[in-house]
Amino acid sequence: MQSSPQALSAIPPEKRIVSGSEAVILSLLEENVDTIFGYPGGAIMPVYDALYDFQDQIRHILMRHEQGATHAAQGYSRVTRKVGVCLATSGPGATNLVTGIADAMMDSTPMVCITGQVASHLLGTDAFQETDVISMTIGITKWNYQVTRAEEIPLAIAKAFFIANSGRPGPVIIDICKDALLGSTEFEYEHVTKVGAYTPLPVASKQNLQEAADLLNTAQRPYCLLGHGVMIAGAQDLFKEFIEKTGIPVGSTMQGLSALPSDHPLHTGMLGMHGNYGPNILSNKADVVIAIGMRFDDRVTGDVKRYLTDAQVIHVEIDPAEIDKNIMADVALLGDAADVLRELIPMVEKRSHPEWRKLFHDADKVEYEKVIQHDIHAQGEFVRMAEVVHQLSEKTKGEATVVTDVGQHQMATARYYKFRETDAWVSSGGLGTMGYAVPAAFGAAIARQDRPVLCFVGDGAFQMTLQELTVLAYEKTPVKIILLNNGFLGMVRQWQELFFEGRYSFVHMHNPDFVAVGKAFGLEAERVDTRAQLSDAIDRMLAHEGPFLLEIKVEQEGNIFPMIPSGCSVDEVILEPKH
Amino acid sequence: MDFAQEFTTTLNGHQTAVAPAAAVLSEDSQSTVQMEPESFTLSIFTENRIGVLHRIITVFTRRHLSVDSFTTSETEVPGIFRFIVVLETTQVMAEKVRKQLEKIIGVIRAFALRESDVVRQELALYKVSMEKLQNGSLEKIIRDNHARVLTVESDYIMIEKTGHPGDTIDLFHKLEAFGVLGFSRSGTIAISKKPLLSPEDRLMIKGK
Ligand SMILES: Cc1ncc(C[n+]2csc(CCOP(=O)(O)OP(=O)(O)O)c2C)c(N)n1
Repeated sequence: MQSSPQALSAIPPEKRIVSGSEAVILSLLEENVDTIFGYPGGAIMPVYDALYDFQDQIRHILMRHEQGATHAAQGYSRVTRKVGVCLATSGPGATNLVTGIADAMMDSTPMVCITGQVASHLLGTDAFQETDVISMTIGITKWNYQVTRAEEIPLAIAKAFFIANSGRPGPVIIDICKDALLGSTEFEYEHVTKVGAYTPLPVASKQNLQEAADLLNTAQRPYCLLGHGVMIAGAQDLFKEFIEKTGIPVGSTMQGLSALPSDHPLHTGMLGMHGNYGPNILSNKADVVIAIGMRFDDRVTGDVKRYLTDAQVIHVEIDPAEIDKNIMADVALLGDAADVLRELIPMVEKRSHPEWRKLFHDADKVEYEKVIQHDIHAQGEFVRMAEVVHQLSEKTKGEATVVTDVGQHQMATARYYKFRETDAWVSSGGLGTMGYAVPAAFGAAIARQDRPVLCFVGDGAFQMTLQELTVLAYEKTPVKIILLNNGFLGMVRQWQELFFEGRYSFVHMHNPDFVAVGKAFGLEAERVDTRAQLSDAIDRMLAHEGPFLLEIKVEQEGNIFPMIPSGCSVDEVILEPKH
Repeated sequence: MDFAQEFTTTLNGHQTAVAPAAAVLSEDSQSTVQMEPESFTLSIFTENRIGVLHRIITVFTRRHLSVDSFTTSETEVPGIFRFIVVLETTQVMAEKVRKQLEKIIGVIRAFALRESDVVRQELALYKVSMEKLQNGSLEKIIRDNHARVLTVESDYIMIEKTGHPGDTIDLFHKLEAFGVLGFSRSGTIAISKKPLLSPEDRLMIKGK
């Protein structure tokens, strides 16, 4: 039915008549896609048929669930900043993508999902495996589009890639009717660099830049909030130059982790609900705050009415809708973080703020004494999550790609892994999607083989997407899964303990034999029950060539502190439970 | 084809015909922020109608904003549409909504206009029974209310009125005595009172 790709390439490009499905694959190749995560089914079968001829040019990974495909694509994207690509069929294939798409939307991850759809004449008839994907995903995509004719395919895909990875990145769905896939079209590909009035890159005004510089140059207690946007913009070096010149201490959002090495002298730690003590207790003491590539999520701000109470706020942000959304900006610097910093650096004076920075060091000491030392040098009977993360941080010298799931283990990892590499933190932030880690770690690992991939996961979250272990095994992807097993849905249990009078309602986990599960899937697997076994087991895991599952029995009712109880102000952060 | 460009070109020719400028609420307007709800008219220019319709609606539904009126029509530039949405909200929310609307791919620009900055009108049609003409002077009511007769059929008369939403409802109540067989309103359309686009807005509409 179709000509082979070899025959195709003999025809002058402008004359190529191809099937809609081939147009899909050729368009992906034009966008330099080397990897697709997908799952076949009725409506998308023509694309899979076309893919058969292109296996040497595009690597397709058959995930074990479409949600796994989305998270793998996200992991792939987070460590490369390239667009992650998913392929799925109509109906249940498309609905299974929804969680990952929503996650990518919240965390500004560029992703293009291509879904098959019933033939166009069947649209709206409740045909077999028809779901209205476009309507369903309006709220969770940056853009989506339904293709009903083969000739629309190249342009739709070109737009999708441009939109997904320009400005503030995000997910895009192209839903293609089966008759369009089976139809034929002339194939001509042009990269898109403009879509109507869409302005991906706003530009900060000179006047606002000057106002920002004036504020920074006269600030007594300036503080910088570092967000994911710095890495998305590739502005890590400029960021470092900026803070080193201005001498401004930095607090990182969770998603900003790894943008600045954790041991940088100006790095004061993580902001927010389970962040470090200094950043939270001192935010309201700052007189000027410059927030770069972050969106003042409620997990960062606590009670917004009592946040940055003494500060003039400079907000550097690419998405105009984020300005004044949660926190009013005194000066808005619209634009890509790199562009804004490049302009701003020559305008700011060289300063250092020794007295102000000393307050952070003092707070660090308090946190170390009250929390950190008990966490990483735990003496109790049971292993604590923090000491596991600490050991892994030391043993990998902070050079791993760190992937986490959602829960207490995520917070422990965010707090105790000390990053020296960048684009190395892969975690579900905005959506907090349990089940993210295993597939995301797979995607991150195949995208970048130059560093080890650590995948921290809880016993609850692990069971949401553990089917993807198959993929790790058959692809022999060397992901190191550290399963921190506390026998509870730990984060929910912690809240029940602290805020619901210890009424543990459906948080106890009846778990399978995880080592047996790992082995059944074809992974090397081991369990650690005591502290004495921990270090050697980690060494064996790190030395192992392929994927490895290390189950570690940790303290059952351990809590993550410090904590800002929800609804409280950042400076009401608590270091230990009230007795 | 660049709709936005084309749109601007046309706009420059008919500046008074489309004047969406006016009270664009600026980013640094905090000092004058109004916390009381008031009536805002959102004027939204788009590059297509069906594709963005659903996305525009979700901006309101997500925030539980109930909308008083929602209309859409093609502008004088083929392929460029205008949505007019009237709602009661605070200035802060109107501005947030405006930015979320502009974030939609396919939306060229959105403006949040205060009631005092726009002329707003709606059209209403009334189908009035012929049976109870003895109940008053229909002719006088039509004249006094600046309405007009569109058609007269054997058993009903069709009346049209343009005016403020309050006026069209007023007329409905006055006609009730005769028996209103049908009543339909268009929703509000609006146009800014400022005669010209500000230079800034003209620049923005270009979409750069
Ligand atoms: C899909 C999904 N369902 C529910 C939640 C709510 N939730 C957040 S953390 C958590 C507990 C996670 O437990 P586990 O994976 O064992 O990790 P731990 O907190 O014990 O480290 C739950 C249920 C969620 N974030 N995502």
